[in-house]
Amino acid sequence: MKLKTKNFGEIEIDEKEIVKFEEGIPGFENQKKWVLLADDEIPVQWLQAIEEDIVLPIINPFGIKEDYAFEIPQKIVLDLKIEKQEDLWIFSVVTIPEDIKGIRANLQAPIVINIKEKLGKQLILSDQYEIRYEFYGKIGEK
Amino acid sequence: MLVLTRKEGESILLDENIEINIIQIAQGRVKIGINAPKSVQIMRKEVKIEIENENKMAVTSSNFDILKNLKK
Repeated sequence: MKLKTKNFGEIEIDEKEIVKFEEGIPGFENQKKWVLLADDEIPVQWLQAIEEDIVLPIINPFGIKEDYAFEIPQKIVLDLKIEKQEDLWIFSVVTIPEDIKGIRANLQAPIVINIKEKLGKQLILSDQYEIRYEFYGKIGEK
Repeated sequence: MLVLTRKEGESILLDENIEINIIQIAQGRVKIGINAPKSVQIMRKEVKIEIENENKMAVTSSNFDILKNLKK
């Protein structure tokens, strides 16, 4: 299917790649279908909504915070039909201010995707990680 | 919305397995105890609203040109 987007122009989406978020994403509860878009040039990837032209910048949190870890509640494991850890893709939502040095990621609310089943959800962890974690200069640290 | 009045030390049950206990009322604050199964997610509403706002901010902040300076 073809998707018209403001940021990427008209793009071709394989419908098999669409990830379902049953409850939407907080702030965008009506958007249940999203697709991952990658750009080889930059570490930030994109979560593009299918039904409306909304795009969330996302990043691999383990690349910007090496000791990042959280437990996925059993209910989520069941809801997302998670069987193997390899099927899990984890992202943090990125906010890009005018001054790039203030670029930040939301570590408290990771986006968890079971890439095998194409099911996703944004978790809200208890208060152990920052909602606004500034990571300029930490990209690629391992 | 169901509205109930409770006194200190009294409880409310939701289904069979969730108990909300009014522990203390003092100076405009209510201390609440919650007994619920682990599968029930409990959070302060402000946190949810903050996450919603941060997501909305992320969407509107998608400045693509700026990101070109951020090579891998």
